[in-house]
Amino acid sequence: MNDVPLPYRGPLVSPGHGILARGAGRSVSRATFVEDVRACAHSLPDVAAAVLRPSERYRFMVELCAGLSRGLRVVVAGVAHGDGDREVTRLGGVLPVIGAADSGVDLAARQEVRRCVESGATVVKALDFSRGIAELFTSGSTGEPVGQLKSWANLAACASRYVAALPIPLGAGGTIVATVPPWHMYGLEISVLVPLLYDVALFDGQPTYPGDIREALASVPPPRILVTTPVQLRALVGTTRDTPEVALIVSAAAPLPRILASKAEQVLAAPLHEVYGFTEAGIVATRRPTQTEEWTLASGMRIGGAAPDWNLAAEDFPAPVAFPDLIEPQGRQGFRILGRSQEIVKIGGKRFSLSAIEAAFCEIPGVIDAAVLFDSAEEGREERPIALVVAPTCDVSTILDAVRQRLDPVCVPREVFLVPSLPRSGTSKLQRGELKVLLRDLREALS
Amino acid sequence: MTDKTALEIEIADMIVSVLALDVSPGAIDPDDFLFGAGLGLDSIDALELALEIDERYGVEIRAEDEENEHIFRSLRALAAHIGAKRTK
Repeated sequence: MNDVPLPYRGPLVSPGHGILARGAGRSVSRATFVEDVRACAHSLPDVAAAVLRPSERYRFMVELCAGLSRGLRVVVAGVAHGDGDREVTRLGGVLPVIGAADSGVDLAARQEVRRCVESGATVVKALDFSRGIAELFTSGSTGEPVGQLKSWANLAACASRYVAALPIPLGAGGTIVATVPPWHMYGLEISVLVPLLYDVALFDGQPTYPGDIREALASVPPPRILVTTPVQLRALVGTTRDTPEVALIVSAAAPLPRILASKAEQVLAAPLHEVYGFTEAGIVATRRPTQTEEWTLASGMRIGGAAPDWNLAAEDFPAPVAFPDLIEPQGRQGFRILGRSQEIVKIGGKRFSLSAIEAAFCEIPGVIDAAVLFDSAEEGREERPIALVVAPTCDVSTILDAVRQRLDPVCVPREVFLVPSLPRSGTSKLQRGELKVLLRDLREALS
Repeated sequence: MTDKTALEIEIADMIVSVLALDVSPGAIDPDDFLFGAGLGLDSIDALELALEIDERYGVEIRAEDEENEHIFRSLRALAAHIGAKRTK
């Protein structure tokens, strides 16, 4: 009990002061946090690995740190947007679950910890920083989520990159209010790891609608850091209501249209910084879209490889990772994004492979062939998939009903067109360039 | 399908035009689910609708509102909520 190793550095070295979490009318000090972690760690089973259930941001942080401090490999379930329960069920079949209903921070354990802390008997063990300690799942481009093993060195480096790249006010009593879940890489890095390792608090909640975001911001003292996504930002600045003063806006998870970036900076009177990253690497680069299109690499990152297969290396990566988008390096520390890789699309902040969505259509009885494409949407709106389906015996509503059973709701196509055949090459490879022409013809025929 | 009120018709039009849905507003059953089965809307749509509802009717949608799940359940529930809370 007394020799629970803690993987922290930074402000937790002197945990006697500072607020770590705010929300729901209460503040949690770093000292209380350490007690909560120890109490939670005490309640964990003696196992090598466990699944971390999605939960409120502060509790998630406590349970994550408790698992890490017990030397467990913590499997962070919950791919994105709240479908974590399905992941917990899938993984929970083989691993114990941290944060199951009955293993919260119990008071008796907390009191026992308080006695230990007060008696000065605390021993903090050093961890092997390069060992894989947390496993995060990407959205999964094949339908099945893929685990990404992270070392503490890597997670801590991610947090340091955020702090180096963004003007996050530290040591000023500020709070990070995030509209994204803590179990998604972006949310984990900026709303859990940054507050854990640096002197800034987290907001213990996940407001999603504009009204909730405004209320959350109003509930914490300035400086406030708003961490969000383009879809939520668009809704927040689209209304004429007043939003509390914000010191910094951070957007990630999907490309942010420049026009929306300008509007957000104007309406919220704060600088907006955009983060580019992906689960395999964490934060990769940042930019201020109102000032430049070019992305600046985060500290310690190097672009390697050769066109078009560029990759990314850093000391804390076990091996270089490939870019999921097509990029063009600019100078030593910058790059431009030329476009998404042909196969991978991003919808609502999650990555999907086009062929996986197409495969879901082809599983439906009566569907012979299917192609999914994206059409340029209205400025500022997310692009939504459109399906062209060969299914002579089916109607569109039957196909949509069936595909809804198989796909995440955000990648269910908005429009489905029945076509006699799809443009495929001699090797049966889909001619994606010709699909847009086909779609235009179909739309013209309808209008 | 039961008859729709004037507000339900107006909101059905709004949903279809804001989300560019491929259905006729008249075909939306006021008691049908808006999300999942039924119209098949998702979380991105909910945000788009929240923005539009605030602009048109001055009603702020809240996720932390206990009633939120109920509000977006059906066209009828959404219209009832907007009707009760509208400021414009």
